[in-house]
Amino acid sequence: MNKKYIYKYFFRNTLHSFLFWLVIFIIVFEFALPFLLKIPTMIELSQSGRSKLIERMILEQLNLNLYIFGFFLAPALGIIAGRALVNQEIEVLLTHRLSRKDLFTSGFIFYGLFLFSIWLIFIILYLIVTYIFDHKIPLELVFKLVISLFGIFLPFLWVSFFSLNAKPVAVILLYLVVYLSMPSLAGYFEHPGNTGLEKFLANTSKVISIIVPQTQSFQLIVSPFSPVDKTGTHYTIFKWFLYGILWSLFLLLSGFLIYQRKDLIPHQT
Amino acid sequence: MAEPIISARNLTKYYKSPGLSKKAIPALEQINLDIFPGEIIALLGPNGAGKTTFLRILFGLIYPTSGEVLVFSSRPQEKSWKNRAGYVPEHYDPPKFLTGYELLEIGARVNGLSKNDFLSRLEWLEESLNLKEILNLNISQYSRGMLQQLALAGCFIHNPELIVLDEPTANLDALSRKKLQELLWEMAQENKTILISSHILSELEELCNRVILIDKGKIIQQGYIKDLLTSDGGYTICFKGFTTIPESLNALGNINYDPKLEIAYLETRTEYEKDRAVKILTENEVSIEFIEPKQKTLEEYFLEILEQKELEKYFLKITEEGK
Repeated sequence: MNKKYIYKYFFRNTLHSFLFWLVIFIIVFEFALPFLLKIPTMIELSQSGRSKLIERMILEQLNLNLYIFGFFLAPALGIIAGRALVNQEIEVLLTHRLSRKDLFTSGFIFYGLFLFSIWLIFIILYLIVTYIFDHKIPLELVFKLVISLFGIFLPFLWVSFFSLNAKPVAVILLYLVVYLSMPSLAGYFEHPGNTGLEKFLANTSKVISIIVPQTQSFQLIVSPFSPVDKTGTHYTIFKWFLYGILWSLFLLLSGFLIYQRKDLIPHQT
Repeated sequence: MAEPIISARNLTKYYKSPGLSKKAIPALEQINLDIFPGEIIALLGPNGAGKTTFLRILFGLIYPTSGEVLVFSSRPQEKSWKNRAGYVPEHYDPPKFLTGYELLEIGARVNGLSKNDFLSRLEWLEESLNLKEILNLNISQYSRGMLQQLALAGCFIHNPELIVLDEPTANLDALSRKKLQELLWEMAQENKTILISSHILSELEELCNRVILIDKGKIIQQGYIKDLLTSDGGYTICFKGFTTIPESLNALGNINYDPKLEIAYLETRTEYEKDRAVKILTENEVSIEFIEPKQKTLEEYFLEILEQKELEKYFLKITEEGK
């Protein structure tokens, strides 16, 4: 089978999406261009006495951008990917020699590669900054950079998988509500002498926190240079790595369950 | 006997009713049928009978609740057989961001056609379906008729052995309808298997050789069209050479008179009425041109069966009420 034509379909579908152009606009004009245009100034400042502090500030800005990317833009791409697979229009393709599995895998490969290429842009920006300021890149940092991929892919997969079976607005609202409220809920109910109900609520929100990225932990995953993990040990990194693995397994399982459901047309009676 | 191309066994489909209700709505119940290579089949039934559900199950777009259907001895969701079949759905909703040409190219290429084969098939379809002016337009600019033409082109582009058409002439103008008829005739000559669901029964009558009648999710009748449409006692008697039509004939059936040819046709309902008419005509020395058994049209047959079903339902209801 000529897979080139399925990718062509997804490519044209993406170009047709307003959300896609919004993501591209933000990536280019908000994240990449300002950094690239400031390279001469960075080179100049790297010779000054405050170079360490300035480097730290620039990296923090990149961390913030990567965080915004993971928090807002990756889910937006997730919606595009999810909807591309459940749209009524996909039926026209399914009557040809294509299976749902083909469309599923091709769709996620296409959007996954797209996401990966944006992540690479960030890595290049990180490398440019560290090169200009002569910052050594230890192996530990490389490892963190790789882990930061989870921070991008998890919200993307989370939203895209759930977009397969629910309306995007509902998915995004759920995503934001759980994202913002769950971490604080667990802490709120956890205190000495808490009642049975409070224990139950604390544990429930903890369990949900495992399957939905929490704000703080998410920042740790996506932002390799973040000061939050400055105090962290190898154990912390390992913990987040496991967290990412757990998340991936959960998503794979939910994806499999949705695939098993077989009819990809949403809201079908 | 050849292997059936489509084989359904106890095929049942229930839809979930909307909302929180757990009530299931039956769409197909215990459908058993075989369709063999070269057959041209009319799938008939009133609205909501389950025809579209059956066709969508065939192409793996929805899944049956129970039972099994095999197409080319494979399950519907397997892709291996899909390049051997073409489908025009009832509600064709193609991606609006492509041009007609791009959509046909994607369909043809994933079905394994080479670029050259695709282009030569396309050239033939442009001619046969009058597509020339629409293929380079964006699909979002298509009218309903154009969409239907594109759906047909998408179905035929890879030269399939099995053609499944759900209301293929909907939204088509008279010329496109005629072109489609000619195309289907051509395909019938090539021994292709065609399954058509349509409400325009006159179009099916000439083309199809078997009829499957579905109502409320069940097959209520199926058979060869020539057997189903034969006379059940009615005759057409053609006569001429009279000054006035004998009055006693009026009671024996409808008389249509053609003043131009000075010829009349009497349509009797029974063998007895035919014999009586022949006797009267002979006594009045009227010349009988021919007598032939009356052929029902597919439409008459369809309505007759449905009326029969309605009557049966009515009698069942009053019998139950009587108990």
